[in-house]
Amino acid sequence: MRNLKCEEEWRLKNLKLKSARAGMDLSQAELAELVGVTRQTIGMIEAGKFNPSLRLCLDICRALHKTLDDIFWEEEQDENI
Amino acid sequence: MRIFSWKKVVDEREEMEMMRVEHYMFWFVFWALLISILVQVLVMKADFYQVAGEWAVFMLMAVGTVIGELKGGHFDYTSRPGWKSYLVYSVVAAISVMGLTLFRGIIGGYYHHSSDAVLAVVITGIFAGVITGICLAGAGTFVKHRRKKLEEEFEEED
Repeated sequence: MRNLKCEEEWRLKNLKLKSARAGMDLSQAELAELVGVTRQTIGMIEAGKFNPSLRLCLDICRALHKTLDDIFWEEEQDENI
Repeated sequence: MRIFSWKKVVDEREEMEMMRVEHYMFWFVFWALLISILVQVLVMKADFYQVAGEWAVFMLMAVGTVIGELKGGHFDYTSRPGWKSYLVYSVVAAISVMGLTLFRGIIGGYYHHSSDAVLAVVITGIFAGVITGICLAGAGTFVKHRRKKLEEEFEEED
């Protein structure tokens, strides 16, 4: 039960965003500055604790030179867990 | 140098969290104010003018909320406009008013016979239930009409 919860939390984390940000050598604070939000907001999106609006998703994708699919698309099996 | 500006400086997450806090506090104050008015009127036997200020604030909150929700085509978090929800809420209102009437009568010593209590409680209960039902039916009909209008407004053009 506990393992399932850990797995669920891990899957909810937006690791794609974290890796894209790291790939551009940006800190959370720098990405936050680029898209006009607080560092905490970027941290919470990466941790899966906050679902951003489509507008903010687009701003993040533009800042990281990625598409929405690259950063925010989840396979159906992941969504259902 | 500008010392103060009305420009929003919070991002969408901060704004959402602030609105959530304000939402919970609004409803807490709303029910606390209602309880406060009821306690003063029913238990402490206050005259209306003693609670007039609180009543005015309460009605402002209630009427403002209803107007705002109706304008947006919203009815309720947990039910859709329809006779079932009107009936459920009318019965809840009737039972609440019956309880309050009975309590008020007992505290005030208004009932000399049990038949007095039954008559007063049943009549006020039915009255409250019918009034609530009519108001909800009116609001529900308006919400349906408003939703249809909003749907037409944002309907895709072929």
